[in-house]
Amino acid sequence: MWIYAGLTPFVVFALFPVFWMIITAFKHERELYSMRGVPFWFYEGPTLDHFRLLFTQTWFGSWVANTASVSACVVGITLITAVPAAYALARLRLPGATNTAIVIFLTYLVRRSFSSCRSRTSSAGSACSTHGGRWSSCIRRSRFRLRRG
Amino acid sequence: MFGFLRGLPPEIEEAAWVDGCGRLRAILHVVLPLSRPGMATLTIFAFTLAMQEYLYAVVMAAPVDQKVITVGLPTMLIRGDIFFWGALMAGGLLVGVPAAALFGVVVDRFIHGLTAPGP
Repeated sequence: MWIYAGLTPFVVFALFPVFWMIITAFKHERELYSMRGVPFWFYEGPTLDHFRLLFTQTWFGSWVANTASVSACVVGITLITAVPAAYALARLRLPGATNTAIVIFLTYLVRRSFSSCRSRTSSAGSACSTHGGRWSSCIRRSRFRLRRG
Repeated sequence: MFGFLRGLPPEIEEAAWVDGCGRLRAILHVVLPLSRPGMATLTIFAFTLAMQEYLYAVVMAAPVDQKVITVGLPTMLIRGDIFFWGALMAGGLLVGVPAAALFGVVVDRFIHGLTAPGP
């Protein structure tokens, strides 16, 4: 139980922006720019003015609706195209299917190289310090995984 | 998705063929129900990418009522060098808190999708 106490600084570091966001959203406009008082808490009390501005003077409602519909469409199109494609690559004996899969995977890796590379190398317990080492080990491992199956 | 289908034993599908299914029926009645966890992971990733998208969204939607959140908030609430900090943060909060709650539910599957063996 106490072993998790060491995580406290990281949790504080990660949650501070969210905390700042929350109190900024509820503070009075003039309090945001004033130098009096403690900046980490309210001294004029919370307000809902900003939410009111959001809903009355901007198109916030339609933005939310647009975001929801776009996300739903993206998910639907991805599922419709990716599932048959994955089935074809995994099951049918197509010429070059393995290499195609490697190329698709590598483009995916480039796009989110940082998070995916880091999690992969660290999950395998390898200690590649340089960027190039990370890259080549990722590629080697993915080739190995694809060939093995 | 590819890695997930690879991990699915082909024998199950072959058993369906032996029992008289065609390839299409085997996919519909055997492979698709079994790959539901993979499809859930795929949904999470696609949703994340769609929510993070900014460049295409800012290029393609010009009318102010057709924008998505990620574009609408910074284009409308930053006028010149005036930042409407309170409203910006309020908008981010209203969108971010439900999304964060959703991710709290599915975070195990998300991590599994990132670190599972096979791409």
